[in-house]
Amino acid sequence: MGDTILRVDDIQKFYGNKGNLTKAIDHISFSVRKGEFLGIMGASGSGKTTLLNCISTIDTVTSGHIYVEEKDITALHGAQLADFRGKKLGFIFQNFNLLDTLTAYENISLALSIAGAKPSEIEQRIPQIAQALNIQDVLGKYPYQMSGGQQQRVAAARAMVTNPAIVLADEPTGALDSNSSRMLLTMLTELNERLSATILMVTHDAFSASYCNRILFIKDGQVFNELHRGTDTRKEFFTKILEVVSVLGGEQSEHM
Amino acid sequence: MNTCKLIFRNVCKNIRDYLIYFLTLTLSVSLFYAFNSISDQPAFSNMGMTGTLLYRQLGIMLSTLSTMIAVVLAFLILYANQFLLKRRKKELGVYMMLGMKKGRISRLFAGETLCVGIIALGTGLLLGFFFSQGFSLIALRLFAINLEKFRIVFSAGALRQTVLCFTIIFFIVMLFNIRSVTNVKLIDLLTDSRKNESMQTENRILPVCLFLLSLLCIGISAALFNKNGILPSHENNLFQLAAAALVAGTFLLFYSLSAVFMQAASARKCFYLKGLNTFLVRQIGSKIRTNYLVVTVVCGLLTITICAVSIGASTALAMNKMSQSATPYDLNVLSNVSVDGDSDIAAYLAAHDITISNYAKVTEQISVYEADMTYSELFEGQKVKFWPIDEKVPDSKVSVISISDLNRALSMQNKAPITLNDGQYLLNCNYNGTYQYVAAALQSHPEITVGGATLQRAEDNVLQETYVMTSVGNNDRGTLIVPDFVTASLEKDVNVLLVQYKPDADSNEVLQKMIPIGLDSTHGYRYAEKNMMYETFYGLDALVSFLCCYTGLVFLLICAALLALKQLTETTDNVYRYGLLQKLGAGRWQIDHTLFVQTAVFFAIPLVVAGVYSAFLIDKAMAVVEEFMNIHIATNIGLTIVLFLLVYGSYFLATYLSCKRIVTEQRELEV
Repeated sequence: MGDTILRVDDIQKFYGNKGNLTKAIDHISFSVRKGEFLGIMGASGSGKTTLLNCISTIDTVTSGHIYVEEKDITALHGAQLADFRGKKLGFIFQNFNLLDTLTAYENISLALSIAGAKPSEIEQRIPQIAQALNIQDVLGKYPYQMSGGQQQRVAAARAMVTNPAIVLADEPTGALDSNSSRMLLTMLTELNERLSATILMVTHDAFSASYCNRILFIKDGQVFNELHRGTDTRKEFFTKILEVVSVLGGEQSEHM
Repeated sequence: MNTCKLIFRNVCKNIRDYLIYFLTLTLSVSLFYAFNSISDQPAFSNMGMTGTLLYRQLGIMLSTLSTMIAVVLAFLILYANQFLLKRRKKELGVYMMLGMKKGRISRLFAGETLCVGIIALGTGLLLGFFFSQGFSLIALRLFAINLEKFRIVFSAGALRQTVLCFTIIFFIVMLFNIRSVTNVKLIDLLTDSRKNESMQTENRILPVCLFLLSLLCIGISAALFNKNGILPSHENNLFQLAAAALVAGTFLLFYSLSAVFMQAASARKCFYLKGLNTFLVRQIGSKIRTNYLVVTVVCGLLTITICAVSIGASTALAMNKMSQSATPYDLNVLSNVSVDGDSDIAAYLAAHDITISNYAKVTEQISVYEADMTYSELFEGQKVKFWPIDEKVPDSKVSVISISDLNRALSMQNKAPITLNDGQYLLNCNYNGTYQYVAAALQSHPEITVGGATLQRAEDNVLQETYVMTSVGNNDRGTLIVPDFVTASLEKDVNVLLVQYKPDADSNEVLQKMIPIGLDSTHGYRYAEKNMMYETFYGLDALVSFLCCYTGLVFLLICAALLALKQLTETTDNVYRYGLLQKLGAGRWQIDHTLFVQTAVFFAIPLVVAGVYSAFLIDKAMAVVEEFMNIHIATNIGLTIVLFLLVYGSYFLATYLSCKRIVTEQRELEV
């Protein structure tokens, strides 16, 4: 398949030693196509964060392979890993995680310069992404001078500016109030639709998950169910998710 | 789990957190012990009478200084302790959440302090024991005492003093910890408080103006110091003005430095937008901006340290070298021929109950003659300006010594003899006040007439031998060296008996017997004895230079510890930034490199400025010391460099490694 961005092939992740073995991930396989907004849902301890850590190369798999743009990232080491993270991955964090000593412009340029972009390229790319995310006015400001929404957009610009193959979001709404959550999720949808970003979001929250195109449910380290949004409205999709969640026996959404 | 077990496990687990605290404590203890133990070195107690007096003074000054240093160290240790407490706030919070009583937590922390304190005290004392041997050796060299008397000693007095002093300090630290635990609010402990660094002002012109102003201030003060010297004067307030300008300039320099640095760095896009440079520059900028006060203080202390240690060490070395060249014999006795006639000095001494052969390995008697010309005639045609104590020199007759007497004197010093043909002459001088005139006189006299004989110049260079011991730095003002036949027609001025002791001779005994002979005003016998000369020569000067080094060392320790703690606190506070960088794709070595450069710059900035100040001040101060002590001092910064490499360097390394560990630990925590 030409438009497959991410392919997870039968991966396993064990923790502990012989006497006390925990299978965090137990034979998971799936793939993500370009431009998809995939959600991974599961209760605490279901292995979803471990899965994300393996994909983001922060953690290593015990067996199996992960391909990003048909390149096996489980075979990468040291500097190659860092390089991969810089060039192919974008991260979105719940508290934006902007460096508060740097201006918005510098926060964005840092991601590019770490990936090894030339200064001339940096100066050309930042205005483009700033325009796309409508943050031209705040580029010279420090994070503490911006509103929460602006900070979110700057963080999104930082994740997108390297043209990553995939943007990873780990519980992005985990500690946000419902209004901020909605803002963040709308922005992710916007990134997905307008900039055709491929997004992989891990969440335990049905409301957040309802923004995705497709959802994988994980239980005890295995894929339990899969749900496509298709032509459903967000409300209908939300109801379907809740049904699966109740079968799953996981946590209920806080945003009923 | 009982408290004791918890204490031990906590200490073991946090032993690397304690690194800086431990290093500071250990070094403090060892320094304290080493300096207090010097007084128990037997080589000192074997010094002569004048030496003993000085040595008693040294003891008093050391103990006063020790008390002051102990107070400073107490503050330093408290500060280091604060850092530890801050780093473990969360842990403390968890204990409280679990319902542990405040009393027990206090006991826990007090127990940990005690535990670390005892280990540090033990290690420090051990280290101090080795240090003290080194310090004693240095001190003995400074006092130019015979090193054969050096013994490795363990000083019980110093041990008692150190243990007492640090017990009090630990007790204060414990009280302080208990107080902070008792007053703490749970909410403050658990919420991860991110330290807000002061933000940069948006104004771009003001910092540049301030920076230029600071350079102007420093320039003005340099010009004032250059013109008026570095000593305060009663006539005007220029010294105070210059000092104030220097302090203000330094303060403004560090205040505006970060903004100027950042503007300069960010203007160079190729550099600024490469790798982690953006982050690095900002990080350094915010560090200097937040800590400009600390950096200013550290810069001041470092300047004092560099100057104090360099001047102290240079002075001591110069004095040492001079005294060695000024005392080639153990004893010499002079007899004034005009008072006592041309006599055999050894016979005179034997008549006064001093059988020189009992003490002496070798003896020689030489004679110094008076030429038929005065110094003013010798220096004719030169514009001569003598030092006030030499006002009688121009009218006195030039000293003359025969070549064979000189060679006998030189052979006693184990030096090669000098050859001088009949019809030739040489000049000897080793006194700073007249050396240049003697050298000029040699150049202007290809021929000289002494005692009726006309002699040719044998060499173009003035000899710098010491053939008779007088007092240090106050020796030969110019002596003609002539063939033996010339002296026959000259008048004898003094006879000199030169003595080298046998290895086991007791110099105090000789001195005791010599005193009445020196005091006898009816005879013209005078004497100079090596040990006596050392002791009178050194006196307070050596003491001051020694204490300069000690104070410098303590200041250096304080500076390094302050910088290390600041850097560590900030890394701990901002550790989340490094996790973020890694997620953005920065490699491990890139992050380590960032940390290294940050730490290096933070340590280097005050040092560089202090280095520049010192380079300027040392020369000035040295000139003052030279004038005051009437000797030439070659600036020796070797000891300063070694000291800085050791203390500053080890703190820098420890800081970098600790920072690296804090960041690595955080990375592992996130995975």
